[in-house]
Amino acid sequence: MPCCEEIQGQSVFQVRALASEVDLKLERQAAQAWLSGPVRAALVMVLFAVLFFSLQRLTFLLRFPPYERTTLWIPGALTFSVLLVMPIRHWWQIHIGLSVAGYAAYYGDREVPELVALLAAQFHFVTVAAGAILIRRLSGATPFSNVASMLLFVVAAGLLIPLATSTPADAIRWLSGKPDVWPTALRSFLCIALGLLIGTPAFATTLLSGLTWIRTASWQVRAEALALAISLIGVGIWVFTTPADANTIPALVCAPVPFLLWAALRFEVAGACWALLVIAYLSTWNAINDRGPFAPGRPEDQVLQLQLFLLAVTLPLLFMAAGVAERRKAYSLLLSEMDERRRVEERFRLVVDSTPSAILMVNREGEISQVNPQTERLFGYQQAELLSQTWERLFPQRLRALAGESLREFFASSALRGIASGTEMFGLRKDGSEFPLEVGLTPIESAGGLLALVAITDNTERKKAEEARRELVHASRLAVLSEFTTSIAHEINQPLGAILSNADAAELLLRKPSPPLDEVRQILKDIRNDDLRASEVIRRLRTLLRQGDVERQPIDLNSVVNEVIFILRTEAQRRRVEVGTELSPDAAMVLGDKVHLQQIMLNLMLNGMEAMAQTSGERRLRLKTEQADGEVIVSVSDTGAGVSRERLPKIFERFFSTKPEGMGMGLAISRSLVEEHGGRIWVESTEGQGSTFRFALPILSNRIEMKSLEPRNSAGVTG
Amino acid sequence: MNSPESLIHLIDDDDSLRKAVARLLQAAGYEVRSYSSAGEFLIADPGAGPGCIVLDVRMPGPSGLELQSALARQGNRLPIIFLTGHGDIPMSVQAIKAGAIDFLTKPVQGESLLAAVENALEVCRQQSGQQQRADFLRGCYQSLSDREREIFRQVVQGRLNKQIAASLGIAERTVKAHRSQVMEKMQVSSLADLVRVAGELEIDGDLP
Repeated sequence: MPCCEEIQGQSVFQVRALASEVDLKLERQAAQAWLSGPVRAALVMVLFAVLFFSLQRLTFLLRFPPYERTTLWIPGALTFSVLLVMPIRHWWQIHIGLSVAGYAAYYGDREVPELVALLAAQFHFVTVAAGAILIRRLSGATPFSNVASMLLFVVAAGLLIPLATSTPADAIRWLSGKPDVWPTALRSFLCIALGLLIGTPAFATTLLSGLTWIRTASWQVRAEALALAISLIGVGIWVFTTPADANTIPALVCAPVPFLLWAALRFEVAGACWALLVIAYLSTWNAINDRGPFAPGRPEDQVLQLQLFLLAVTLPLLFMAAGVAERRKAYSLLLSEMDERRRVEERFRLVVDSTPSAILMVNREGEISQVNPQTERLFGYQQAELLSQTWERLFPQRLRALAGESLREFFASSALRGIASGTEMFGLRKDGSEFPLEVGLTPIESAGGLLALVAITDNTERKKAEEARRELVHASRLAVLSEFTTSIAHEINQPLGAILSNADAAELLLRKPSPPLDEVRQILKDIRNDDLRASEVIRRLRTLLRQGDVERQPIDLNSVVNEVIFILRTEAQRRRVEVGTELSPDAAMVLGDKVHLQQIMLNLMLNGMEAMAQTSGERRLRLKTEQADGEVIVSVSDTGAGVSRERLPKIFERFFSTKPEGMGMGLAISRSLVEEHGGRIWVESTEGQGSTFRFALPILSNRIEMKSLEPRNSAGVTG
Repeated sequence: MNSPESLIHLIDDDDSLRKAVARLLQAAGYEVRSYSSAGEFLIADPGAGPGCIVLDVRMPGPSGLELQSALARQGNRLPIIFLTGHGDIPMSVQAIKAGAIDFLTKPVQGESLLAAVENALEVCRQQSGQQQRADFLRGCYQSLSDREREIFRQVVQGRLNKQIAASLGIAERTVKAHRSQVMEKMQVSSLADLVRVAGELEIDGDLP
């Protein structure tokens, strides 16, 4: 009866069947639930005893009278096969069943006393159990699945167990001085060996997978099995009932061989052994009844002839069947592996084909071995135009050397990486147009060695979005600056006015009869100074107005604050705002874009001044920088109207403004700029008392500095 | 053209601009006093002499406009020239409405500044001339007796001697005598002159 442990045994015998049968097993297990414990054990005992008894009785029928011996002893095979298949902890059930059946089989036999029958059964159990343990130890539970384990089985079942079983009886017979011990010993040895060799695999495989085979075999297989059985039985009957003729004996005896081969090739060990059983019984039965090629002669000669014939057929057939099973198993393993590999490859291809990125495989030399449809679409080539070509053709001439260099470096270290990070990479379409892209390389092992999986992302849209964003930031900066053009004009007009007046004064002085040259010289000096002053203002403004690339560099936030205070000082004056600072004594170094940081400050300061526009009391804008927990915190506090609790959460949203003419972009842009720098921005406000805007940026220590300066490498630097 | 006693008060918070404008004005022959804020000017005594103020609209502390209104309240009638930036149109309008003589946009051309200053000084001179005549006429008027003032009033109202005599209950001859006395004291020689003087003195028929 199958149980949990048998699944393991079965998996060995029927690798292929098991996979499709898990559900069947479960079903069976469920059905067996009630078959547990004592009931099950009792059933096993009874069933075994009945079978053993029947087989023993069958063997008695096949004895050659008056010799009282037969060609093969089958009941031993039943014990052996059950012990091979059954978990050892249940063997006691077999032992009891065997004792009962062994005793019962000889019940009433005058020649064999009850005690001898009982002892013989015990002895039989011990020898077979020893053999079963030996096989289970040495080849696990796989005695028939390959040639090596079949060899072990043949040694155990064909040599060791028969020897152990028959030797003591023969020895007793020899010691008691009976004649012709040796011929009898040989026959009884062969009888036991043949029974075990033919019967065990037949029963064991049937116990393990017979039911499965009946349930799952296709109709073709069933038909073939039926055809085999019919033809084998037909040929057997014909061969073993044809009267003996010296001329035809060899050919006749060989007639069943093709069908045995058929069974071995197509139905492996189980088929071969059942076929052998059929042949063995047909030949024996007919010989007993004086039919067929083995009929003539004395019974002991008949027995030996039959045994030698069967042995000659059995041994090669067993090894052939095992070899076929071994091959089939290896083949099905190969098939399933190939299948799995094909499925993996198919899955891989599906993934590659369905990714939005263009993906190609490139070898060490840059030769393209595979491209996905996106590659064709992105670059405008047909697949055939790219395969076996070098991948550098996908880049414009000026970048090809760089791409080649990246690939060489990649194969030298073969870690996941992007190429030419920090450089703007462009792709070259078939039509000659260029587009921005990003390239990532991933190592992939293949039969042909290491390949690079090249993933190419079209960056056109991203670039556009970045461009649009940059324009927005710039536009917002211009808008902010335009809010205090008056102050800017004043800032520039002051020195210009001074220059003009000085020049006019000098002209007047020079018209005098004796011009005071010292004074004129002083005037020229003043003119120069004022000119420098005006250009300084313009220089600072130009920095703010320019729309350049974002440039991350170590920068002191204190200097940013001072710079913006300088730019806004006239505006503050105009708005009658007193600006006070409380800056950290140490430089507040961060990694950032100077213009963007100035823009943040500008927005916050103007916002604060704006908030105080309606304030009748003192208008004070306090700027503070401090360092805490690896951050530089900049705060801008005003003494304005403050923001109401309901409006506070929305204050950084786009198009939200508390000012009637406000666009609502300043704070939103400030927030996005702060976040772009890896920082955060927040506000605290008390209505009627003022607000404090704070933003914090990660502090730049010397250690981080080096790392962060590498593009796209640390948090807050990717932009 | 430059009267030596006229003094120009230059008020601007920007040191270099103030220095340059002062230089220009001095080169043009004016006497210049510079102040860096409105407060500084108010503390200093501007003096009673003729002159004008060149004033920056935008300054820390009190602005130019605030100084303008403070001066108006004090009765200081020195003409004011404002210096303004480009975007200060509203301020300029306010300044002109409040009586500023001129406003100049920075940077200021020397010629326009000098012309504006000259114009301001002229205004100042006219103002001081008008002031003197008003003081003189007021003095003459003070010397009239009550009866003479009454007759003066009625004469400029255009009433005849006979009518005046009837209304005051005096002889026509007496009216004539008073009338010639009024002409003499007011230093006019004709009735037309007398009417003009009355106008300057803002005397109409309802004079006290």
